[in-house]
Amino acid sequence: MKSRLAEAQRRSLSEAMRRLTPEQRLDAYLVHCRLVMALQQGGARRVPATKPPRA
Amino acid sequence: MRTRQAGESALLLLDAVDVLARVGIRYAVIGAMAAAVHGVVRALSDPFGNRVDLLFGLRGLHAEAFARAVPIPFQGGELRVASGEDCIAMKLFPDGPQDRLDAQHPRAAAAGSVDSRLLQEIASGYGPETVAAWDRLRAGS
Repeated sequence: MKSRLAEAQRRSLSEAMRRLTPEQRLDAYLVHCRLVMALQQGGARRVPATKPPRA
Repeated sequence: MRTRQAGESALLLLDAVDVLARVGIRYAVIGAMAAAVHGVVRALSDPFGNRVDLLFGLRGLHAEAFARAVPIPFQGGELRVASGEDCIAMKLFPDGPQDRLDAQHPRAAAAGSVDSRLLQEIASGYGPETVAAWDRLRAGS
């Protein structure tokens, strides 16, 4: 089942993105990549390496 | 070097562009950064931290793609980003599911500002499969 709230937020985000200038889009891309990498590195530090299942 | 941490490939690209400018090599930014300019801001997580791929001699690349590239100020420098039509045609070339999705986003964002005749001409340089993929995208299938 679709979430009307999520759909509305997706539309709102899409509209907001459309209003950005090309320069703002590149800046947003840079910030987005930094955040994704920080999340990924944070997750890698928090999640211990998985052990193989016991036989 | 402008980069300070992982996730800053865009800044590494600025450094690379400085070198290209010094030796007089024309370039056009394609891929996720170009997609961010023309439609959708989608982050790339690179397992190597920061990386820039330099592609030379792309088969089918339209001769005027570099002249059409759009100069965009970025972090105190400037990047020449491939035009929307060039980006869509390039994304349609391999015609994978993600590529087609990426091609749809800039087209939707441009909403009527895409030059269909130019795109048709660029797509023809990449071969009949790319033209067919463009026809499918245009038809909305």
